[in-house]
Amino acid sequence: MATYLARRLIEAVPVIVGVSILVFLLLHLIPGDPALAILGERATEENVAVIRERLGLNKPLYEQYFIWVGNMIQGDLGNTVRGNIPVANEISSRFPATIELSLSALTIAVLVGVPMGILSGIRRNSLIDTASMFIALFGVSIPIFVLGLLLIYIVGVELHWLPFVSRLSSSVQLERVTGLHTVDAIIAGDWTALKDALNHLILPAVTLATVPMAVIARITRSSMLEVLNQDYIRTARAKGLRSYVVVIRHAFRNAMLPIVTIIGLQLGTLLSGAVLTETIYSWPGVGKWLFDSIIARDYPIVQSMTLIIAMIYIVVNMVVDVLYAVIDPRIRY
Amino acid sequence: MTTADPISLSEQKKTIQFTRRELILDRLILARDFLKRLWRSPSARIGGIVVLITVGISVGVPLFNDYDALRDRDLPSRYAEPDCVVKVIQSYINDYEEKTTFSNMTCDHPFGADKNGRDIMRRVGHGMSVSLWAGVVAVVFSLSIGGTVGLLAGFVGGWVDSIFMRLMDVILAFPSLLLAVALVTVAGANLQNGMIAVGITQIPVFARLARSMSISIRNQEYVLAARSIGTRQGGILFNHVLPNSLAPLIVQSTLGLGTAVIETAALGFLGLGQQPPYPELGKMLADSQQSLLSGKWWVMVFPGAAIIMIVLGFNLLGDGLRDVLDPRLKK
Repeated sequence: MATYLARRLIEAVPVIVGVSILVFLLLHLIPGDPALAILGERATEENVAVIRERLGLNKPLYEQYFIWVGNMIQGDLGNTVRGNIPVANEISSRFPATIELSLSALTIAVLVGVPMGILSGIRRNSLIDTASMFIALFGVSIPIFVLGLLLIYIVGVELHWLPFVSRLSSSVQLERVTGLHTVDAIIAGDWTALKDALNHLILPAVTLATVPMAVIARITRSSMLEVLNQDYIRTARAKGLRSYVVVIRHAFRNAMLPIVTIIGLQLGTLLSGAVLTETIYSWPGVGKWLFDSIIARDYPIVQSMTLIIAMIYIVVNMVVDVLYAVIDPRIRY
Repeated sequence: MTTADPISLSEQKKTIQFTRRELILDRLILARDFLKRLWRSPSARIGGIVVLITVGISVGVPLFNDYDALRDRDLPSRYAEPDCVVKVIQSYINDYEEKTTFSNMTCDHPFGADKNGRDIMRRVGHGMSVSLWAGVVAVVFSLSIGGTVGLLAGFVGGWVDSIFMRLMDVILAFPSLLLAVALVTVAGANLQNGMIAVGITQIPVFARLARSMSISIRNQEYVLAARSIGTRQGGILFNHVLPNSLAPLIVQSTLGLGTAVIETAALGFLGLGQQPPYPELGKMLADSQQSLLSGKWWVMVFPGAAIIMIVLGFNLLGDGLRDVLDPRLKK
């Protein structure tokens, strides 16, 4: 296992280097001078020169790349172009919002998608199967921004059931410990704040959860169908085991590998979705921020964030591989 | 018995050679059987009909109705409510005193009008055409590049395979929408660049699929047989590997079209797709946010429904195609 993980880590290096080069080149290919973008049209030549010097834009491209990589390795993410604030501070203040949103969405997706898939698998061609597969199909077919706007209109504007702007009501104060509002509220023992945070979380989380939920439900169903046809399931039924034991212990355990794989792959979907969800619900996370930074050519933010995201992606995929061996003891690395 | 007798071989060939007419007839029968099987799958049936309607609207509307942004503005009918059939349904659901019926309804703006008084139905029609076109271009782009790369990488193997697949890993390590945003920012925000950017983000999906097909076909007995009678690599690639990996690629293209339509609309929603004033569904939805807060639902519902219709149609058709074309999944 250790040697396997070591090999995987070594294999990940070229991918991370590739990602860093691609990000670096892409950003420097964006037409226009970032110094001018910061200072505006009426910038004097001296000011432009100062900014260019500060950002290191006068050096050759490869030198800029190595300076950046060197700083990154030392943990220095640089300062934002707009506002000159350390990027690391900004990330640590915004990332928890996105983590809270994505984790809630993933939890909803798994808690709804997996049972839905199991049910349709064991009751194949029943009404439940048809209904949940239609919901799943609808889930992958409705764009996040359409669903988000629909929910805002129906639940927020017409019914006034839930808030749909930002993470907390302005009246609620919360001491920051983890940055996850729900967790912070529990730590502080502040139940009104917890309720407020949850209320703000529901709509964005549900919106973000639909696509992963649908994908997970579909994979669970097809994986269950495959396993349920196996001989050992017939044996288990024949020896008179109760059907839920057969379904959970015999069928589901063996159907789990593709499900875990697909859950791991949802990370990219969640982060892409976070850009749109955060835009629609004015959620102060990294998704919308990263989008704005790309448009504003704020190099340090975009470069650090994409690298962080790529690393998370690689780590999650490795965790999924390790989980394989946990789920299926026959798999040895 | 070292070499085959040339005369008997050519005669053998003659007996199995079809006439041109027979060949065409054979193809037609195959196509008919395929369509018959497709029609038997309910999802392909519904999906096919929805796709046909979508294509009809997308081709028909721009053909019979030029979009003129200046003429389209009509401030007196700002935020006009949907009339026509919608009004009839509304008046029955809400049980209005004065019922609108099919005989006394007016049809100025069946889907209502937006903040500039522009007719939403016309804009949705043109928007659907833009979205479908964008999806098709993106998928053709990623299919041709990803398919070629995957087939070659799987067929050749070795370091070519490693390099191409690591490159695909790099693309996959980006959240697709953010990569598309970055690409569009580099190339300039317009519809063409949006389509290509979305196409690029989808390349790895096709490449991986084509590669896995290519690897499994490479070791099939008929390929060994072809190799043993001296068929060249290129011949094997074009006559055996390519045709046999087409089915999953066609299924993936159909499903990928839905994704591509959503992604290009998402770029439009973020302001990076089709530039105004020409209508695009994603941009229309982004513009609807303000109106939505004051209860003007029609500005959002109709463009949203149009996107769902396109994507749902292709997803249904793709599912049906998979049932018919992919024997591994048929049970």
